[in-house]
Amino acid sequence: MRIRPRYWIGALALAGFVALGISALEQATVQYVSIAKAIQLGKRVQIKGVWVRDVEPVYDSRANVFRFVLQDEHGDRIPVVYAGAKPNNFELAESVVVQGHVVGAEFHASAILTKCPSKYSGATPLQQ
Amino acid sequence: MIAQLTVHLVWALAVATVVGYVVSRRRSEYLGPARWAYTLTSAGVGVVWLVLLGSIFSHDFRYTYVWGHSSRYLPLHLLLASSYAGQEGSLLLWALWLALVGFVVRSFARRLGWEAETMSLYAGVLAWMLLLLVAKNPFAFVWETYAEQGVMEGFLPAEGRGLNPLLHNYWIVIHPPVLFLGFTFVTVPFVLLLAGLWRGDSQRWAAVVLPWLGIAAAVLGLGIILGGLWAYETLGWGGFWAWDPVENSSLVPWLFTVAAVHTVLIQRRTGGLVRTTAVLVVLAFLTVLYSTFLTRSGVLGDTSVHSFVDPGFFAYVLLVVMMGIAGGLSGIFLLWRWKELGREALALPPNSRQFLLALGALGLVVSAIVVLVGTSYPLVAELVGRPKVAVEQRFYNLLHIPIGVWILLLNGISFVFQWRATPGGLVWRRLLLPLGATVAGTGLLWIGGIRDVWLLGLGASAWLTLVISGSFLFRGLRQNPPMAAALIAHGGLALLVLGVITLASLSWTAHVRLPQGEPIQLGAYRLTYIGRERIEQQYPDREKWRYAVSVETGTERAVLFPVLFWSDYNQRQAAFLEPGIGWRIAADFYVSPKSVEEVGGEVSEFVLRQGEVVPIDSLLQARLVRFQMGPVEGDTLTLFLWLELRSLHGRIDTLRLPTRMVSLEQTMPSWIAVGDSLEMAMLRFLPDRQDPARSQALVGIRRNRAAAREILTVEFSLKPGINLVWLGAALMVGGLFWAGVRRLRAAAQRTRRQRSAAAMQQHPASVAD
Repeated sequence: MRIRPRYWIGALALAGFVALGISALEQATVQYVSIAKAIQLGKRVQIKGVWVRDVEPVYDSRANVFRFVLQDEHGDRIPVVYAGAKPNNFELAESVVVQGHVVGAEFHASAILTKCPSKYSGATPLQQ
Repeated sequence: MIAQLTVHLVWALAVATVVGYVVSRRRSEYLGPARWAYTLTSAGVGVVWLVLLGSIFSHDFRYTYVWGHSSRYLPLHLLLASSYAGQEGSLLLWALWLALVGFVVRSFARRLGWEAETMSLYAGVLAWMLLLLVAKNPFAFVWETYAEQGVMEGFLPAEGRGLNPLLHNYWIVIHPPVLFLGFTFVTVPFVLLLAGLWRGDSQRWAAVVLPWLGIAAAVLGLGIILGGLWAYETLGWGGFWAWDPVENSSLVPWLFTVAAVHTVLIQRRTGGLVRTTAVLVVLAFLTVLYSTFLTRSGVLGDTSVHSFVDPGFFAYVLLVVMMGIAGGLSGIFLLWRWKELGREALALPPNSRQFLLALGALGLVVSAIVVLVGTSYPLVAELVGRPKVAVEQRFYNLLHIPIGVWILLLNGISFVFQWRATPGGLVWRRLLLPLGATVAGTGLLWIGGIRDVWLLGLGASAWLTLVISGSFLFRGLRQNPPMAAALIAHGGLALLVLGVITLASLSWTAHVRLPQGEPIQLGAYRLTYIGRERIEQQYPDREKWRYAVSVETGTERAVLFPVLFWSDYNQRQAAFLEPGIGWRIAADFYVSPKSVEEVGGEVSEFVLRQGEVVPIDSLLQARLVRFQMGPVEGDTLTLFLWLELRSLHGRIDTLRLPTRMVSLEQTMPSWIAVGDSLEMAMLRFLPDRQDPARSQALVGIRRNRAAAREILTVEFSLKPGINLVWLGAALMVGGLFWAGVRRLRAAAQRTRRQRSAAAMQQHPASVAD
């Protein structure tokens, strides 16, 4: 049976798009890692942790830089530098996720996600 | 307790409705009771909602939901929004919409003669929703929820936690209800499809489903867009779309629905693509469930800015089972009628409109798959044991450039073709002018500064669609309303894309510090921080300031009002920031506040003991008199420090320094003026636990107040094209809605005609009246 050229073209276009999709997915996925692993890798990663409350987070409005110290699940700590203001809800955040890479002894974040016990929950303990 | 029992009862009624309708297929005497059961179910859902609303309005904080999502310090519209701001409440709202829309569906199905099948399935969906509510009890008492903390039975908290300040916006009254109404409408075509298959009517359902698909696409689309507006207006990140999992999961069912709108049109004309349409309708409904699962089960918690908490194992299982049942049931129905569905062979000559529409629908499906893959990838990766990952926005952006070009090209060109093999000459004649205009329009984009080849390609295809839909509309296709609605919707999409391109490439942002009263020049714009004003003072749980920032160009001046909002919700530890927007036709001014600080005016500190006299300067001495407990508001306590100030001339003043305290470390001192140039405040309270009388205070003195200046740091941006985005979106939704409503009316007229024709044959005499 002869296959019509229409299907050939379609199959080729589909294959091309799937290939593009896979490569885009590979480029755009960022791994969640520990601080130790982030230092070792040096590439773009995400770290989930809590911000350390004994070091006060500082926003330097002149340089537009926000700094705080992040602690991961293993207890390791790293100073985080973020080019931007303190995100909304930062104080409330029960955990934060930073996205970026390690430069020297600091983590340069390009995005900070704050996870809050806020929108769809009432999980904060009740005070009597 | 009674409220929760009502939820159970309503659920049981919904189940009874399902059973009643199923039985009524064979025994018609059950039809009446089934109808009554449905009416009662709906009324019950209404009652449950009213009870929840009533407990919110009467501040009955014994209920965990009311305590967790509202407070005494909320205006009416936000109290109303509290009723669906939480998980349980939003499920209830969804059930309420289902219950109400059900009446319309019932009368529609009744006229069609499909009532039993349609309503048993529809009530089945409602019953599942209610089962979720049974599992996630909105009427749990605080002592039940926090039993392990030893909360006493009957305890009534004095105050609720309140609503997250990020949600304090009129959009919360509009966006979530519209979105849930959209989800509700997606249910309707699904139910009608299954009802048609059940009845063995494998062809007619296309005509039946079409108007509902249009309405579902319009309402869901509107909900999505309103979410974008809300994000633009309050969240301060300046965008309207961020490919966030929650946004994505409402987009996917919309894409499937719009694809189905197009394939069902082909089906009406040619009788083909019946199976494809059926599968798309099912997928749209399944992805609504999937999106509920993703956003409510907490599985995507780490990768979404919309934060959700684990709803408990039972609800999680329920959602998965519901997806399984809905998917399984539709699979069985489809397989059962699969052969009959594909009865008509499809004629798809490549130079016909139906062929191009099919390709366009394919583009929409590919887009839906891309979004679905990107959203689910972190979940899938985790399930198969690969390391945890997140998918960045550029995945979606990159893939949507070719998809966008594809969809937009077909979007425009399909109008040029006819519903049959179209002669090439005609096509070229019709395309000549639009192609010329497209070249000119793309040139404009180039001149405007867009140099990215892909963006120009996207822009060119958008122009082509815009010119074709515009010129066809102009040439008087208004006599043909279905065509006009389609042209408006397609032109709207083109405008939206042009807006996005303009915004993506021509907007600019600058970071700037604005000392009060001092104009700062930023390119062509002159920004001045004028001053601030306290707003919403009637609510003691917050401190909300409106900062006036003026933006001047040579010819115009706009004053923008970004807001900083300190709330008890986060113990006033940091402000919630809202942007100020200057709405303008060509390009919005957008001021996103970052921080406020005060510079100048030296502060010195000293410790005061009870009874001790401390010299403040050469003229003044201070003595600590006593501490006084002030009012307690939520977690915050106000402590007053009484001071006696003795000047060298012998004059004695008494001063009261209030400081709001969350804890000993977190304090918000108020600076009180002393004379013209001094201010004092209690910075810290240093208690002595053994002997409270020996407690001390850390007092701050600020001199030279006049030299102190407030500096407001903001991000100023210019947003060209944003209004094209809104206009385009509105046209798209409006076109879909118009088409849907018009077809619904036509369908109603058709059934009326058919019935009267049938009645005429049976009882020619009775038609006279």
